[in-house]
Amino acid sequence: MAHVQLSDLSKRYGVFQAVETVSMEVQSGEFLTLLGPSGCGKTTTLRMVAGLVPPTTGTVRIDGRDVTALSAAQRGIGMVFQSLALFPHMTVTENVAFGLKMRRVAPAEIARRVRSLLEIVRLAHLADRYPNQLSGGQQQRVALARALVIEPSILILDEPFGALDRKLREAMQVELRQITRDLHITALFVTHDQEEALMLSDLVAVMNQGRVEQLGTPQEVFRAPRTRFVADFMGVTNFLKGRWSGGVLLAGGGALPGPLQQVGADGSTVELAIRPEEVLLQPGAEATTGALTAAVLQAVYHGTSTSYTLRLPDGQTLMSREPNDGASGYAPLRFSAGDAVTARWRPEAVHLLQS
Amino acid sequence: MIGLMQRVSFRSLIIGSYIFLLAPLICVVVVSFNAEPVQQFPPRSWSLRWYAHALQLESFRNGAVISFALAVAAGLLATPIGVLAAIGLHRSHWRGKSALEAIFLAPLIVPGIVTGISLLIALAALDVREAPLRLLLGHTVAILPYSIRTVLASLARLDPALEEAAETLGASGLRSFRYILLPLIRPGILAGLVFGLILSFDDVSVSLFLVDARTTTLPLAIMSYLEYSFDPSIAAISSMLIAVTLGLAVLLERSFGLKRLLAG
Amino acid sequence: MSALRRSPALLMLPACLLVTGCLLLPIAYLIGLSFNPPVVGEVELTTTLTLRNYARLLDWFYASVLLKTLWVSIVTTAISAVLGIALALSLWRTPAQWRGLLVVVVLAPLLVSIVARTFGWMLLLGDAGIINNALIGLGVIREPLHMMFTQGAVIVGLVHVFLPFMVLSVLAAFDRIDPAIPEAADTLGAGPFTIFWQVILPLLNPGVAAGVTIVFSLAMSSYVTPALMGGSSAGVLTTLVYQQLVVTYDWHFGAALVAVLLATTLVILGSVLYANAVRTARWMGRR
Repeated sequence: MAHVQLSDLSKRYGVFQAVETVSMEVQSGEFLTLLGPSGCGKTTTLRMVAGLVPPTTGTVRIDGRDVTALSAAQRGIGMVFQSLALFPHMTVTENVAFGLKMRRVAPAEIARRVRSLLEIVRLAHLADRYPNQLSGGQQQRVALARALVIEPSILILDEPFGALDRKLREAMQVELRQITRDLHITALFVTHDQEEALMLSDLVAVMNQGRVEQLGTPQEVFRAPRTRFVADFMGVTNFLKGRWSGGVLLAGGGALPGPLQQVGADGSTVELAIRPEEVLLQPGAEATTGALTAAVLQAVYHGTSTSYTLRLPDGQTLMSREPNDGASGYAPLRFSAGDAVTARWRPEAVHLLQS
Repeated sequence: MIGLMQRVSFRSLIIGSYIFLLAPLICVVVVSFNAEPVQQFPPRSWSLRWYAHALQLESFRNGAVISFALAVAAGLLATPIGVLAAIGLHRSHWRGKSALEAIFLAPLIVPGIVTGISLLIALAALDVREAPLRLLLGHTVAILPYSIRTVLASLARLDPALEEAAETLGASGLRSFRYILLPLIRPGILAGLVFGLILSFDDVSVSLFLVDARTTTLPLAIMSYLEYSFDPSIAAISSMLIAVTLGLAVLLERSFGLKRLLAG
Repeated sequence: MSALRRSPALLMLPACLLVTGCLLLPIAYLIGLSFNPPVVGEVELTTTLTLRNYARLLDWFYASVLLKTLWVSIVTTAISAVLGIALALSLWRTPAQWRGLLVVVVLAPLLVSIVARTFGWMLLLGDAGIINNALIGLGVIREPLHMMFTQGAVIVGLVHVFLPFMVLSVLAAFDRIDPAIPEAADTLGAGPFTIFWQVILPLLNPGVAAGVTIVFSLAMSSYVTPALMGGSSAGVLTTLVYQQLVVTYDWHFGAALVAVLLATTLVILGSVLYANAVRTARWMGRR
């Protein structure tokens, strides 16, 4: 239940810059996820907060106190590791009690707190088992209980659900969210799975090549990606190049709809992103403002949706994805290759990307 | 403060252990270049005369020839037997498998000296008293487990579908062995062979009871020379042994990995 | 080949014959011989069974040799365990780029001729050896220390020869430890000392047990080091066997001594492995 602040945190291994001047703040009780592909520096950042890796520059503050020089043992954080790192030679109870024993808590108190945590994670009936006698999900919950029992100021989780199958992972995600909310814990989470990040977090920091590309709420990073990398990572497949001309954005052989704020001089180019499900198609090519004419290149049926690849008059391609709900699910596909169509979208669906 | 003292004493323990491991080998090499017949350290003057002396000694020359021939013969005998056994073990899935595996690895558990004595007595009872034959049998059985183990380790890394793929492409059993299996397990076979050569060449405990007055191996010739003489020619011959084995060790490390080779 | 393919047993036949014929049957024969009455120079197995060869072990001289052998082996094993764990720990913590080189430095001596290695110790420990010369030269001592041909010298030599085996076994156990485990203990508030004693060491148990069994059995059956570095007072079982077989031709008593060597080694190894298996079975075992 603490407030965490990272200022200009960086880590260099020889010539390799793993993390470059990362600054962010997590409010007490918030759930922040570092999201990015492997090698983007998210785990290194997390380990610097945990005290397992000393930063090259910058500071980590917990509740305003500078803890940069403190060891992991002194920071009072709870950590769930990617491999879980359960002690294989200790029972579930002994694993969970370890942190309390290190803090020289009285045995009776240890027993009470371990039991209450095992009840929270629903493992009380397996207290005397060894880790290798448990299923993946049960091991997961032991790791969580072990990290939580010491009443940490922050809970740190490093891709803890990576090894679980989809169904179990979803169940664990719900459980984790519930527990962190109930106990009002500040949590830092690392994952490369965008869906998981969106589902769990109050705040998502998308990282790439050691930098934070965008920090915002799940809706912000999903609906309004600021860079091409973030848009790509959030599953956007449409990127168009456009050019400003007198307050209007020209792209794909037409003027784009909407009140867009011109940035830069006339004639300067800009990249923009549109989610395929925002692109709506009408039969027939009718060039009006706020719509682009296009030719269908390919139609692919996906079951719950159908996607169309379109070629715009200037040669760029655009994807459209339509849901197959209701009656349309049973009707034949609306378009086939070669058809002329008109594509339009809501003005706010277009996102200008920073280069 | 306590942490610092712990760290310093741990460091000194480690450095001490490395010195302990390397000191005798270094001393042998340094002394071998001594010009004087006494074991002066460090030597006052340097020379290669003890190398010349060692190379001229009849017992060392005979021992070296016998040890070399023995190592090669035992290696060439144990390797094919070991390869076949490893492939057999790899392919069998019945319950007696682990018992067979234990039998094959028994020469690792039985001390060399016991192997040597048992073989000596059993062969004497059969009235077989030829030292070369005794030595060959003893060395072959002693190095067999290494060949089996290295080949098994190579086989364990193979995708079982490879041979099936070869078969679907029309390779018969023998041709699939020749073109698919053999090239893939060759590093393991070679590592087992080289390791077997080293073990056989350096062996004392198995040979101790199997040699006779006419047929003796190099390490035993060195040992008996040591009993009445202590000049640097021992250091010279030992240095040559060290150089050869370290060379082979580097080769093994490059090709197979010493740790993988030596660990079970 | 395709016939052999379907019957792996045939592939294993040569190896089976070799091991049975050249190792298992000879050992059985030797054990049988040890129960025959001693006749000098005789190796034929007879049906007359006796325990006379074993009864001679009750003689204090022979019993003391057995005890001495056990003592030397136990001390060697204990020292190797301590140094081996320390060395393996330092190797485990060494950055990867140096680790390979250091592992080779530790393991390469294993391949060097045992005679050469023992000779190195004779150079170092002799009355006119390198250590005595250095100490006298520095003025620390006047008279040379008598180190060679003692039990201590044998132990030093044996530790040197067998330490790499211990390092290897312990290192294998280290390789099985998830590197996040000490980190997890760290985040839970354990210091380096606690992490080593309460987390790392218990996990090393199987490796240490394997190393202990290897080193112990090798030490029990070592011949070169005690023969070259131990004096007449430091005789061990193997040097005694050599005397019986090569000098006095008492093959029956020699066979009994070998049987005792084998049995003692197997019993002690068995109990170490069993005790360790019992201790680690619960957490090592799969579901």
